[in-house]
Amino acid sequence: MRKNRFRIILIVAAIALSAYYLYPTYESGTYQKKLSELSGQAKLDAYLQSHPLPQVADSVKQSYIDSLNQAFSADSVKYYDANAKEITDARLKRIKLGLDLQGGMHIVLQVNVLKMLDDMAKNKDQTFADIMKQVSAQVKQSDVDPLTALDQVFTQRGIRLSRYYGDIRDDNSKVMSYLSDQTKTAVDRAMEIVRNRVDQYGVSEPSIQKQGSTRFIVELPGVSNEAEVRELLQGTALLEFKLLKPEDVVVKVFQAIDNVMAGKPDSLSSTDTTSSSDTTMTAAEFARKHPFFTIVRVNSQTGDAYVAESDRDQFQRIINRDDVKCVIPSDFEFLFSAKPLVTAQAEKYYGLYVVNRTAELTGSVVTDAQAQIDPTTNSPIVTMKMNSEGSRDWGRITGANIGKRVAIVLDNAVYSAPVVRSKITGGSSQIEGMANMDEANLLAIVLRAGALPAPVDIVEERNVGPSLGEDSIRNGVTSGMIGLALIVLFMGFYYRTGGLMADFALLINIFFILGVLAAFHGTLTLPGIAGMILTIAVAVDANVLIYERIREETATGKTLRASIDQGYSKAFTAIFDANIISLFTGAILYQFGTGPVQGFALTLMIGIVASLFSAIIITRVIFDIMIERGAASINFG
Amino acid sequence: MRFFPRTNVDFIGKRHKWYTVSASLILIGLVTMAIRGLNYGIDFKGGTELTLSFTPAVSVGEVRSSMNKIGHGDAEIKTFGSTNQLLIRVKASEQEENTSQQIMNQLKQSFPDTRIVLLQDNKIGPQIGQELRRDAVIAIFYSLIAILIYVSLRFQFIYAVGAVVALFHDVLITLGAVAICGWLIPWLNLQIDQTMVAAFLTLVGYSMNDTVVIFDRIRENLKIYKGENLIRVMNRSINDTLSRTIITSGTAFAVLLVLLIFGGEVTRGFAFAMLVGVITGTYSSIYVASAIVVDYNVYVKKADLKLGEKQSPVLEIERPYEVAAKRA
Repeated sequence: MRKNRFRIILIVAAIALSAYYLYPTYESGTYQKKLSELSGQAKLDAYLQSHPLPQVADSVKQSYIDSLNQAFSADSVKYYDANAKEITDARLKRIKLGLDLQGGMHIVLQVNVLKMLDDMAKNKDQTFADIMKQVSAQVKQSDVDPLTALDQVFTQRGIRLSRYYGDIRDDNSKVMSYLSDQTKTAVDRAMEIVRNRVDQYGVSEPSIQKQGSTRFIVELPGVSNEAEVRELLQGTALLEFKLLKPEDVVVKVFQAIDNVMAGKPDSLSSTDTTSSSDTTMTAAEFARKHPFFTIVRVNSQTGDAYVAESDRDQFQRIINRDDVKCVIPSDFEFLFSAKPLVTAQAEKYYGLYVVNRTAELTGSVVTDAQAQIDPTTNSPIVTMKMNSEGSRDWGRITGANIGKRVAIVLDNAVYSAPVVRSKITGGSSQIEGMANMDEANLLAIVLRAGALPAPVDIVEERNVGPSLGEDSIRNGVTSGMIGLALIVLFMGFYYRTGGLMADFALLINIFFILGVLAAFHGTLTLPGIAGMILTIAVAVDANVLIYERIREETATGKTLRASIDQGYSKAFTAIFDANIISLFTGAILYQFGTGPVQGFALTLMIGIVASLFSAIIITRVIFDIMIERGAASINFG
Repeated sequence: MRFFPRTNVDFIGKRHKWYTVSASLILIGLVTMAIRGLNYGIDFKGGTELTLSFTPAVSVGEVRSSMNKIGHGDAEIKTFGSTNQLLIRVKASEQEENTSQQIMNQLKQSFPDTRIVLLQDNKIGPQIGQELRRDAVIAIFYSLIAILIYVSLRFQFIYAVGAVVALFHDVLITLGAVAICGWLIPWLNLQIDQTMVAAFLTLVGYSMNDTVVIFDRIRENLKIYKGENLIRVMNRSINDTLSRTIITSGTAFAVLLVLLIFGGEVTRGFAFAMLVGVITGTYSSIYVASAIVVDYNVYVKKADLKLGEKQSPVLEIERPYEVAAKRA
């Protein structure tokens, strides 16, 4: 019993852990169900059933249905807003479905170094065009790195690189190191641009990963509009410098919005300031009296405004309300910070910036930006250089706005909003106040992104429509169930009591596989389901090996306990060797496969380990307990 | 209940006959591959592939003539699953263009009264295709090396050689089956893509699993019956594990058959390759992996494995089980 006590604890712990990790998946499913119940479609259908439409023109019918749809979906929006945090939490922790199951796009983008070299050159002429043609021919022919090819062609022709790149006085090696630095960081720039846009596009759970040195993968679940996505991924990045609105004006507008929402007479000069009353009110009371300030939290010391991640959609809806729009001056623009602030409770808050709608300057004037450590203060800074035209404007802008804040905006997301300390002439600026070097690096990337293009090509694109995904899930689940039923019946029939125990272990095994998948934030793909079905088939192998051995041992006249002991120990080497090898192939598959194949390899590997655990340990413990309870014989068929 | 009571089949004795069978099967497969070629999916070939559903259904011919108008007359067009679903595959082009959008627009124009829904759309650049192919080869190569090393360590080098030759045998036969059946039975939708490579690696794992179980019994029996004739021990071991072999491969076969029939279009190729793999994997453990170990001992080590006049080719062990069975 002592030996088994440890095992029992292990088994119970494993089951409990699996349940713990799987709970969010279950929860998310329930929310999803609730939301789809509340959201129009089902109710709309029911309503249309009971209230048939009169014979009218199609366009009228459509607009009638649209308005009904809107009315019916209001409930689900309300429900979502009320439970936003729980819903997003559960969604984050559930087992993700792969793109092949839920539909969506998988895109591999590659930085086009050739095009980038072409874009970066200045004073381009016919000679340069010829050179580029030669370089691209070489690259295509011999798979050589574009930059090396460029260097070769320039040397071959006896032309200095500085004629087209960098400063005219630079020697070739300096220009080369500049170019290689730019091409190396190009993928980071392109990724940041794409990440920023995807975040704003509002895809749930996008994934952006670097692959090798010039490629990255973008996965957009639930998205199928190809043209839109192309624009999103390949459009030119827009970097802008926008002045922040003065704080006092912003606060007044916020209060006006709040009053409109609370139904109070709207006036810009309302004296009801939030800070005086919010200390005495309860949260619910506050929410009722100040609906806007429940969503937009203003730090009374700094004047900075924040919006929780889950409230962003609601915020957008509020500022688009017709009655709210009336109190917002037309040159106001609301922008969010690109990166959220994460609190100790892992809640994400985005900074809300109110800026001038028109940009002071666009990022095309930026020639370079570098993250550095300031030698005097030892803190990270970013230095930014501008061309002569930009420098002139920048001098004028900074001179006129000393003490004000300028937001650095890339594709409508604010990366930083430094205070202008003095008039900057000469085009060389220094931005301070970054918390760490990573933040400084990111800002440098963003500043360069506006100036230096990082053209990307789509080299791989997989798009799965939602209906195919549903079909796949249904097919996968159907065949899994049938397969499982076949095996469960067979094992019970052939090995009797032993078989039933193996069946029990098998079901626990499936539970474990899903639990581990959830714990590792794994993704369930269609090949993954195939891998699981296969695991089911092979999982019984361990039990078959053991039971066949037990039968052999029983046949030699051994006692039940001795037969079981011998059966398990003699079968062990075969089970161990065979499964280690399967594990090897799984690992190799995971290493070299991409996307769907990796999903398959992952479930296969998890399946092997889980099935060994359940087939060897769980069944064994059950038999030991049965014997201890005084079972004289256990039927192995 | 027992499907296979103690058997005493002389498996090893008939190995040379089965060598011929294996060799001819591989040859037929290779010839088919040489003539027909392998049907690579766009994962490896590059290109654009769309799966569309049409309501009401349109014919392949109509779609082809529509495709012809935009210069894709050479596109591969076939039904996918049900008759109203079509798969259209276009070769990779040099310049980057929005081929799938073009095709969709063209089809919507040609069939204005048909509802066309995009089910799936894949576009693979030619360079990526090449890389995926390379990665697949590397993956298979590395797994063979890993197996060679592990089996050498746990058994003997010649066992590892036998196991790896058996794997080659399984992969070649399955490839041949994929080529032949892909040609004769279009319903199977067989093409060499990433999922198929996953199937091949899995069948390598499965075949290995089966081989190791038999080797393990041989290892054990050789320890018990030191000095016994290798052929007799091997036959005994194969017979000892036969019941397990049949049951495990039987359950795997049944489940894969279910997957083949009910699993849908996407996993069908995988299920088919695995089905063939389960059969050859089981067979090759006996007639390739074990047989090679025997022939190595006969021809290279010149071990005298001739059976005595009255000796049975299968090592007989009197076990109480039979005694009990006889009494009953």
